[in-house]
Amino acid sequence: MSSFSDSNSLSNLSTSLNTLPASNSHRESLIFDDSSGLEQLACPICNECMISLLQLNRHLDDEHMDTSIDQKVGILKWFKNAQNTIMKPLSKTKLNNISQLAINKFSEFDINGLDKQSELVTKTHWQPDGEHIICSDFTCDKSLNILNGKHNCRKCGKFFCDDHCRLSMKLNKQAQHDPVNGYECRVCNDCFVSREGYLDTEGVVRSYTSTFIKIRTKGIERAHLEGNRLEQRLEKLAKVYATQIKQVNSTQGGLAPPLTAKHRRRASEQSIVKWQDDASVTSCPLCRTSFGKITNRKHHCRLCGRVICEKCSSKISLNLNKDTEIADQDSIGEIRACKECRSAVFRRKEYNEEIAKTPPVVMLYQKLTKIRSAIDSTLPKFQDMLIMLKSKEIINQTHADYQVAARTRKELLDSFTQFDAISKKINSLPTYSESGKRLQSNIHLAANQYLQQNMLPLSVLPKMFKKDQTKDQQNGYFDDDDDSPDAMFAAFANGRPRSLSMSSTKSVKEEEQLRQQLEAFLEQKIRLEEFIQEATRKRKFDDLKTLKTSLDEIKLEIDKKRKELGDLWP
Amino acid sequence: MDIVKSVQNYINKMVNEVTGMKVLLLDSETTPIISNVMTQSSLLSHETYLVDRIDNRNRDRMRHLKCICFLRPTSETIQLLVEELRDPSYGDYYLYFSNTLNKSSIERLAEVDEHEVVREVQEYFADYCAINPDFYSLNLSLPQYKLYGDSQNTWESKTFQRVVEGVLAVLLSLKKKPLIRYENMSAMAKQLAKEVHYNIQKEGQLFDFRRTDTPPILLILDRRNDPVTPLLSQWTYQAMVHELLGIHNGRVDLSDVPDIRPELKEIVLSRDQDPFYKKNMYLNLGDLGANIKSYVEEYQTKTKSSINIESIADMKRFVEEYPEFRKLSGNVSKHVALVSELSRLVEQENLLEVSELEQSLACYEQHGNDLKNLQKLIENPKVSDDSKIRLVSLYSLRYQRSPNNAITSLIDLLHHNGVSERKISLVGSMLEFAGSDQRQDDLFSNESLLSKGRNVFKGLKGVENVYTQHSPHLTQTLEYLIKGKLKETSYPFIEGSTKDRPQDIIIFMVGGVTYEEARHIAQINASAAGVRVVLGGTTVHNSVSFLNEIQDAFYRFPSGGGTNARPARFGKSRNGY
Repeated sequence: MSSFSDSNSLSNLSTSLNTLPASNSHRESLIFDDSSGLEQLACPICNECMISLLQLNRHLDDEHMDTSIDQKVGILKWFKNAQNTIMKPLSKTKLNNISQLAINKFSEFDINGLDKQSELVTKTHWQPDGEHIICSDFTCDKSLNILNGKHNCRKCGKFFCDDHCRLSMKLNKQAQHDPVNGYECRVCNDCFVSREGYLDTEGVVRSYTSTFIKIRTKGIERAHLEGNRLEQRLEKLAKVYATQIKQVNSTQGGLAPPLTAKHRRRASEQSIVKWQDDASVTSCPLCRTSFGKITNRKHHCRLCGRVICEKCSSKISLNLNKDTEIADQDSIGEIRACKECRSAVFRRKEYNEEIAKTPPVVMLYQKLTKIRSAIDSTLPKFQDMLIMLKSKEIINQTHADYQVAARTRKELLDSFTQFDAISKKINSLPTYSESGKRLQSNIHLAANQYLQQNMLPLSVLPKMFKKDQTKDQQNGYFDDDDDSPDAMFAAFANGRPRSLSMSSTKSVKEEEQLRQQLEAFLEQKIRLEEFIQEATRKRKFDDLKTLKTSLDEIKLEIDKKRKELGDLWP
Repeated sequence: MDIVKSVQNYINKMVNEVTGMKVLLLDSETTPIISNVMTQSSLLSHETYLVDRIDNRNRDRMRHLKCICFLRPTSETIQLLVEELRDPSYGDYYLYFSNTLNKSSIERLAEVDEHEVVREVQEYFADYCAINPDFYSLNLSLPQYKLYGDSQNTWESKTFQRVVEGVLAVLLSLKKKPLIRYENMSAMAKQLAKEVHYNIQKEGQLFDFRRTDTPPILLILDRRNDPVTPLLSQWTYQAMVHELLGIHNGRVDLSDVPDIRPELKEIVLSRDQDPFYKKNMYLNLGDLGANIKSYVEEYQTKTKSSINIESIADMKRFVEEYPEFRKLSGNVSKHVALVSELSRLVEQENLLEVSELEQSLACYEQHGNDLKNLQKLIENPKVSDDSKIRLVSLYSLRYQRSPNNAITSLIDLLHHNGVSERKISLVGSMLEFAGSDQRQDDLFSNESLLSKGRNVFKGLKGVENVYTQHSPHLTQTLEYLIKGKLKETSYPFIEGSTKDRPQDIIIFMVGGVTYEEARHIAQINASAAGVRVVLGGTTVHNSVSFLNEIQDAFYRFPSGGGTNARPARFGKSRNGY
């Protein structure tokens, strides 16, 4: 009967004071006696008073679900009987009251129906009942009672108040989400929202990449074949030209008329590709301008043999060595080729060459990315170190961990400075085009953004270190304030000669302190300079003035610190 | 169901796909889609250093850049892309299309890609402008897109195609395969519903989503069932700015404002970037004024503290706070300029008085009183012609059926007070466009005895604010839908049906939505737990663009108008001060 003893959590509203620890039968008889008046509707198990049937129903759900099955069956059976008896003498006004209550409670959803439906869903995972249960919602700290309601989320089993457990969702018998065969059940906001796919913001994506590549490969093969064929023709032409030059050279002594050489060359050119008949063409196939006798003369492309106009063709220089066709000194002549053939032969080569070139901006950008990735990997480590230092309250500067952190910080700062320098360099690179300029200044802008985002938290750190230091000083045996009796006492207690400790600790500590201050100032200088640049660009002159005075002051301060440092370590 | 996040997700995926220096290539329609949800700095942080238009022919060749293309797959952009791939300006190409790509386009592109520069070909369904997390628009506005074909019941075919694609994209980006309901009386809504349904069936593979507890609902409505909402003056921030100045892709043009500072000629209103705007976008002018006052005070205290730089510590703090401070100062001056311009316009055009009458005409049956006020305002030279037309239109819409209405005498009065003939013709057009025989629901609750009674009861409850009493017809429709009580005879299903209460609802309004409706949707989303609603339409209307669309349509309809000259654009007078 242990389950009955803890069922009095609603006792603050209970009007019945006699909680009778008695057997089942005893209670039954008691309730039956009581059933004459509905005002005294009480729970058959714990004898708690209820306002309405609905509430009693819920109370049974919430409080007595962990009663063993046997008992439950018995109780249910009893309850049904009791219900019948109770309902009969119920007057109309009272019925109205009950329904009114139900409507007020669940104006948005008909949760009452829901709870009946969810009888089939398992309850083994429910949070065990106890006293002073509060709503499990993070934003809510209501204690659960009749006023606030008390419900188990059917999915996670935790207790919630009315406001945070009024949603419905389909669950199967194992209390798992099942949109197809599930029963509508009361669930909490968290369960409602965290079901699979509910907060999904990833839209549908369909990829055609493989289809595209398949089609492209086919086309590319054809284009390659065509390109190769033209390339071969080009080679042949080069060879023909070469032999003819040799022949001309060898017959130089004779009187070979240049006309025959030209004819011979033309014949050999036509042997490589058949020339299109002049008469069959009236206009250029590429630009559609019609040919005339004098104005727009017909030409033949030496690679495909088509008739084309002057404008649509150009001369290609011939080389024997395939790889150096650009180099002029190897040229052994020129041939006319149409636009299409020319691009078919050269386009791929030109494109690949251009791709292979790396302009300076790319090289610098690669460096930039490298530094950035280095920073990105060190930064979280550094943050971890800080958290660790803080949690362990390591304040001693000579502590190994402290020094490691300081070193990492130094590294990071160096990286940032480098990063900044490179981005500035990119911005000042000579540009060859409008977009180039835009590209470079945008890279610079993005770099500045990055610095502002990541250097900002870093610059907060010296403060923290400093605070640690002051603590360090107070805890130490030495204090700056010479007249402080505590310090004197501490020094004496330590049993060390004061003067000695003074000189040594002061110099070391001050130096460290000064260094850190200097570092902070230098950092601020860099950032101030950035702001000034930006303000100038945006023509914010008011800001500019303030910024400039700040910069001057910082510069002064830096000089001062540098001097001090110099004094300490001559 | 957060459509802003959905679009952002798509775009982030695009720019994260590949590392290195990138250029983003857009077309005329994808540019606003991106600019509505992304900022330059967020693109920069993903190494996207250049953004260009594919129809810009003067792009420089930069083969060391990778190119992300985000394009609508129209025949024009495919042609431009074919030309681009034939002679590529950049290194690698990653092609993303905002909607379904047909086979022949893929083939054409594959054939010209001889340099093998294309690395990816994908469909990312971000094919609409996401304005708020629960509010989108297809941005189909005149003159580029005409809504109506040759009558107010037919679609212009190009626009129709675009709308179908847009609605499908919304569904795909939210991963919803909905049951479709439409407004029974609207031929256009029905045609759209059928076409969307057909396409969902056709693209069965794409629409293969996990089952939900209750099927999502796509509700297709027609602006003509509620012509009142876009005619009303607005008093909440977002809606008011759009009504009086116009928000276009998150930007507001202030260049006509007298004595405006040069950097404020065009301002950006972004929920994501501007916390003040996010907090106040649904508040009315009164609350907004109070908030802006405290915002300025906050700024001033910060300025004060930063001006008194006396010690190094002060200075350090100043330097640290400077970026934040600068952002704040920009934002404060932006909102102050905007709100003071709004109040100037309100003052100049007597909008408070106008609005009071508008609200009364929209919400209550008070013929005698309202008519008197209306006549007074028409005779008032301070009230703009546009406001007069709106008032008479509202009056006509409400009292169209009442036997003793004074529509003709009011039109005479408009003539008398020098309102142009073209503008006056709008009153007639409005009745023809959205008169009571064009509407299916009892918009003014004055058609049956029962609804009249309800209306009286509504009047007894008292009002919080005279200027924001009206709640759009949409909220009522939606309320019924959420409760599962929306009549199937008025809002039939295309196929299937359900008695369940819907949890996810997507609404599309043919003929445009308003920011007032957007605000009510946001309220419903915030208050009704477990229900998520997303609203959108062909465009976002204010009264000027709404009346323009009607005027343009009736000018083109063979039956309507008969005037030969093209009508002057409505609303010009407001910009001409």
